[in-house]
Amino acid sequence: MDLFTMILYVSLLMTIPMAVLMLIYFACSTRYRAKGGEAPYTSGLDYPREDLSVPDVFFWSIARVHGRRIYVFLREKIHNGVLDNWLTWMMSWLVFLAVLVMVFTLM
Amino acid sequence: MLWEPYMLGLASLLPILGAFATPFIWVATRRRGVVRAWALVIITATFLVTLLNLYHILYRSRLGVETYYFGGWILSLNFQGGIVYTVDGLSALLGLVAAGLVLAAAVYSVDYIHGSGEEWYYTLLMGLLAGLIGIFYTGDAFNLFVMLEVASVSAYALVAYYRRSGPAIEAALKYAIVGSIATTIYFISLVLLYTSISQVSVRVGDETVYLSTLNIAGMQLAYRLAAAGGVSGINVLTPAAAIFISMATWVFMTKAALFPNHFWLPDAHPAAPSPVSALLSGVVVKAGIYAIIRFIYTVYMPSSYQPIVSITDTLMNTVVVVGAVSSLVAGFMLLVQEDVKRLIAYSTIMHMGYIAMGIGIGTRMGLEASIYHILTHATGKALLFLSAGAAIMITGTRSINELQGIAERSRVVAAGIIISALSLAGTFPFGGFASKLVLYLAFIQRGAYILAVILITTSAMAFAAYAKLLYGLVFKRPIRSEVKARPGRAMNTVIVVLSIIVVLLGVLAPYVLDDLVGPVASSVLNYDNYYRSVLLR
Repeated sequence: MDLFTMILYVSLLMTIPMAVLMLIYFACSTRYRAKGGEAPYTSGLDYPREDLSVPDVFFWSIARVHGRRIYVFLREKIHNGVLDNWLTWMMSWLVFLAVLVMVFTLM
Repeated sequence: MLWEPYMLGLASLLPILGAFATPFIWVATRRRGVVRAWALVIITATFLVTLLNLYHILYRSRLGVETYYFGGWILSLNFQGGIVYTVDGLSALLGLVAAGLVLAAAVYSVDYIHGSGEEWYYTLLMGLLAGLIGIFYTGDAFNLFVMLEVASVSAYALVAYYRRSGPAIEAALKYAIVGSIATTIYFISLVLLYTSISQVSVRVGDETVYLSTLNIAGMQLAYRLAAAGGVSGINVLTPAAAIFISMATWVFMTKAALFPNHFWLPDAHPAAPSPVSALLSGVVVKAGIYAIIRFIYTVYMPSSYQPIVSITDTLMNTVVVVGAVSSLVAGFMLLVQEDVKRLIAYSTIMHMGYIAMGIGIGTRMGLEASIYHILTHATGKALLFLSAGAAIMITGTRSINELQGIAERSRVVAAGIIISALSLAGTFPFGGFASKLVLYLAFIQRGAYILAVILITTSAMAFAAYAKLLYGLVFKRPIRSEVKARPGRAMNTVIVVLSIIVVLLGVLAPYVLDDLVGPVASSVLNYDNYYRSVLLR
């Protein structure tokens, strides 16, 4: 067997058990997925309107309407301080990166 | 001259010997003052050695790259042999930045770190310095892994320095888990790379030479020969390179705290003592950025072999996208922080994003801008962490809302915070303004207008976040009447010196660009010299 085929086989042999383990992990972890404890807080949103200049009012009005939703997502889904959730994000990124590079190389 | 190559080896040997000797000195003397003086002498000597190395590489060296073979184990034609340091302008500059900031942190710590465990603190500080210089100087991908571990293990332990604090232990454990996973993945990718490269052979006269190596110059040569068609075994090289690149890039993004591998940073940096936070933000994250630059610009970019070109293009586009997302996410997160050290930590992610964008656009100006921004960010961020540490010492709180009236308590500390925050937000005439301007021009020159918009938008977000801190600092009265502790002379001296450097990096921008950043970028882009310096000893 040439080395190229061997690398493919070995990679496949490593990938299948890893995929099975990951599936088991995801199946179990969703039930116990930890939630972040920090309350969303946007500094500046509590400034009295009369203290703000016109551009400030414009900026903070946008932040009030759209910003809070982004912050809630960023804080609760991403930056919630839970290691388990971080690893899910990071590992997904690794798989995505590997697939991306392989696809472009094969093209 | 004869002594100059030895200086390359001495740069990492000095701190590692210093680190190993420190516990013995402590056991022999039981005097913390002696340990402190020992650490300062070793770190100062290392700083001077790195300064000499930079001067030699940039202005005296024939190739702009120098190689040192540890123990005189010169590499054979197939790049097999002992440990090799190959130092170009970028390695030398980052080595100097690392030694300079560790020296600043060590001097600052004279007033800041006291009591039980101080001897271990200095041991780890020197261990961290040895690891960082090793990362920047090494010419070998496997030695890079070893040195990453040396630096990382010291960094994990330093984050846990306040060992009776729950958050510090938790942050250190999280940092260690994420960091260990990253280095393990790098190790696995190296195994794959070594297996593939050792299949590549070249005919030299009647002899077939197998490039069994993880030497960076050897890897560059293998990929360049692939384009010339002068090697066999190339069919293995391409898929292995693709897998290696994806895994290694992921690892370096974790070390550089780029989205979405940045989670460890906002926990780890605030939990550490302030001088350690300054080092983590100022220089440790740069190790990841350095590795990305080294692999893109020295190993892969020189090759014109089509599959490698596609891999490099994909990688560079990925670095740009990840950099842009990092700066945006960190920009949003900056605005919601209530803890001053957490705010500074998110700012680090944002700046790492800028540097990544500059590297990823693949132009000379982009590279120069990134190198310049590495300099201004390293000094600015170290200054901000050290000044904030002094402010926290005075008030006894990390809350931005309670960190008021520092200007009344200490003008030096207030000035340090103001100068560094304005520089990081990109305000004239500080270093951060100049490097962001060059970044902006590089994006415009490349036609990457969206990146220029992201740079300006996120800078505005950072300014808004810092404005709240600065307003309370200067214009508000202190909330508490009592002063917990006053920063000592050593702390003030470090803050003043770093403030001067941050100002000079901005005011002297044309000279910094022409005489330092330009030659450093040239030494990275003249990739021929990298392997010549290894072979033409």
